[in-house]
Amino acid sequence: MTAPPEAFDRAAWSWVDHLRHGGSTPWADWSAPATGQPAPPGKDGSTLPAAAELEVVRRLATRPRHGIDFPAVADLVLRRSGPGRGLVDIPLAGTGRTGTPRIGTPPSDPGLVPDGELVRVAVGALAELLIETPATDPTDTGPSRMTARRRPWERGFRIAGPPVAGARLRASLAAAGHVEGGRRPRVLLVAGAFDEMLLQIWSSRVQRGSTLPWPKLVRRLAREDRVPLAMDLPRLAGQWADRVGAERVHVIIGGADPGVWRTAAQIVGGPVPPIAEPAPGDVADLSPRATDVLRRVNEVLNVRVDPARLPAVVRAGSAVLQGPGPALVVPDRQAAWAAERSRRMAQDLRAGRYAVHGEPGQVASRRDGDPDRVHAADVLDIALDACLRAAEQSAHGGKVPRR
Amino acid sequence: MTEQRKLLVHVGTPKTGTSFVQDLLFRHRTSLAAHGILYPADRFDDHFLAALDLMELPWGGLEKEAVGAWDRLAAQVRDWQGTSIISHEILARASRSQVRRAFDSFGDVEVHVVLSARDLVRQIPAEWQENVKHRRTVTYADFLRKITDPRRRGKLASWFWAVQEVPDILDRWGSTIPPERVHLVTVPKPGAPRNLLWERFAGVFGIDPREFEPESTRSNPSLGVPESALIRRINARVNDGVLANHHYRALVRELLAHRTLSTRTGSARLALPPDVRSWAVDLSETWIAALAARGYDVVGTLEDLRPDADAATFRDPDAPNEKRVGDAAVQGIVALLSETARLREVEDSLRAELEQARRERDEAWAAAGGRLVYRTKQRLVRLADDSAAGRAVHAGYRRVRGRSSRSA
Repeated sequence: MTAPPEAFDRAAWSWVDHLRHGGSTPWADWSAPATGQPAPPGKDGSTLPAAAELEVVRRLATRPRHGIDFPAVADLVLRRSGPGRGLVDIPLAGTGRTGTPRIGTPPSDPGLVPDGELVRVAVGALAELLIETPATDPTDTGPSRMTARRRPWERGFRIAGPPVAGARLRASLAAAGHVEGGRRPRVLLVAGAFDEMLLQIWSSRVQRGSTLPWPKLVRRLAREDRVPLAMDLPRLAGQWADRVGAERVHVIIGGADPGVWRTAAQIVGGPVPPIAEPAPGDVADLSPRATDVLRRVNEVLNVRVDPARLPAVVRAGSAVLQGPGPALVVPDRQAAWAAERSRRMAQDLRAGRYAVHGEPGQVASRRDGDPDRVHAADVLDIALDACLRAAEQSAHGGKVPRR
Repeated sequence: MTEQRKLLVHVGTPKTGTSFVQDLLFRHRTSLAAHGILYPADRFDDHFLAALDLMELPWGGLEKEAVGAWDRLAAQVRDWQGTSIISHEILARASRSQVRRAFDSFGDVEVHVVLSARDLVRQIPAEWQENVKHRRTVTYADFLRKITDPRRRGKLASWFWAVQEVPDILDRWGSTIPPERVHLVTVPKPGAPRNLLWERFAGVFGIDPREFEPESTRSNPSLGVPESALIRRINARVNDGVLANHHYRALVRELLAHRTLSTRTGSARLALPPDVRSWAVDLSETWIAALAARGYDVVGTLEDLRPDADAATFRDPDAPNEKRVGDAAVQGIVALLSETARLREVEDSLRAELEQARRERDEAWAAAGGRLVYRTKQRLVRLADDSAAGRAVHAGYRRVRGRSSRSA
């Protein structure tokens, strides 16, 4: 039996209403109420929100949320469409739906919309929430490094090298009262495994507005057989040795290992600092999946936000994306390059005229079964959580609420 | 009494004479304004940037120039007391919500939608070629496989249908206005009078076609089979950071494809293999029937959208005649060498100008007392070198100053 078009419209619009108010019943399980639903504004189902947008609202409704106006968030998702390239307005599938077969995007059950399409919608909504939220500079929160003073008798130090490890160490030392700077400083370079250092470079670039995907960045570097200066430890250490003297340059190998902090404390002088997260305004410690979400958000922000405001909005994006996540390694095709390049790096570190703390072989590219690319389903999870955090932030006047 | 404010928004489709129409409107925008017709653009790509903004589309970095472009364009339309024209073919891709945003931005201006369309059998190869001219390396076979997949998954297929599926584009853009305000301009069949397409556009825009004769040099010329194959192979070698987007646009798309390879005659033209052609002919009939039922203002005839019965011979660009590809490559090398030579001459000339400017600066410096300063420095150095303390101070000064410090 074929249901009449009015029955489809009634079911569809009642489902939209259900979703707007936080319901999460899948479309496939939805039963339309017999009567009492508002008439749809269009002459057929064509003005309904599209399937991808509806599914994103449904998935948002399945997640924990705190103190947000859910219908407002749902409306924000439903009144816009996914940015960039992808399917246009995927119609909601259902018995009784009108329209000419073979014309237009094929209808779909929202539960079967490809993850990539849902990611577009979620990323667009996240960008919109960030744009709509009054920007507060994350560097305004907490004690500022700028207000701390260096004591003249303290040893001066500078942190260089991979940006996230550096930001983490900088924050830890600052928490212990050590302020970066000083004349003829000791230079600390915190090294980790090759893939991890490269991820830090990618993340820091994305946090400055880059939209380059991970595989593309690695492919370019491998083709040119080069690594960015911030992770080219032998070259960087050599440059610092020329400037401040080799005896003042220390390469500390260990990534996020607590031993790094102990070594840093010995070099700088004073007690072992607590392990701290990077300071607001410094490079944030984003997981590879979160970095990929931010990269996609940047694609929208680049065309929507004035360049003067862009850095603040991107920082607000990093703030709602922070959280742990699994690692990523260099794609398979570039694995041999990474292995060879990191082997040369270890060799050059051993031959360096500066101090190397730890085993240089630990910079080797490691493939411990970690994935080599970010999958749409994982990105979607992070993007949906970030949407709700951004909505909470908006409800709290632009500040990221602590949990 | 003020005239009825009206907007004609030309939303595509690509490869239907859009570049030539936009060029004509842009070049004559001042004269058109005197006739009460506004083509609101300070630069040729203003409407393209506005479209990127409306649809939040990344476009190789160009999108950064598009911030706020749509709102600026819409404000000019709202402020104009007469007819305005907006034209860009990528607007065909707009979703319903983006179309709604566009209509909202026009305020109470009477909006007309214009879509130019050509038969699908000619459009498909043209779209592949457009992909190739935008750095893609997709083979023709893979392209055809993707677009004939009914799921339309992936960026390539979804984009193709978004900008080429005439009934759906008009459904998205035209479903909230009366059908008589939707103008479907059909591209005449090959062999039609040269100005016929322009006359059709001009009729919709309210322009006397004889007053603004097309003499456009800006068009989107097509390539033959070996030339398309050549560009696709070049793409595979220059992507991934070898050639930045702005260099690619200037050297590969403009110089090589448009100005050099498209001028070659005698090459086989791109066509569809028989099975895809048959599928496209069948689909065209569905479109024609759907469009005929909608009551749009058809400028031309829906017959123009019916593919010709005579199929052009199919030559596979994935397995081209290598001798012809080689000939095209040689012609391309010659064009690139000529351009390199021209740029070297520009560089030499700029170097000479720079050197001349340096000489003039040095002469002016010397004339203004440089010699006096130099003599004083010489005296100070001699004095410093007379004592150990003086020598130390002098050595310190030179270290701080660096090696560029002139020896006295």
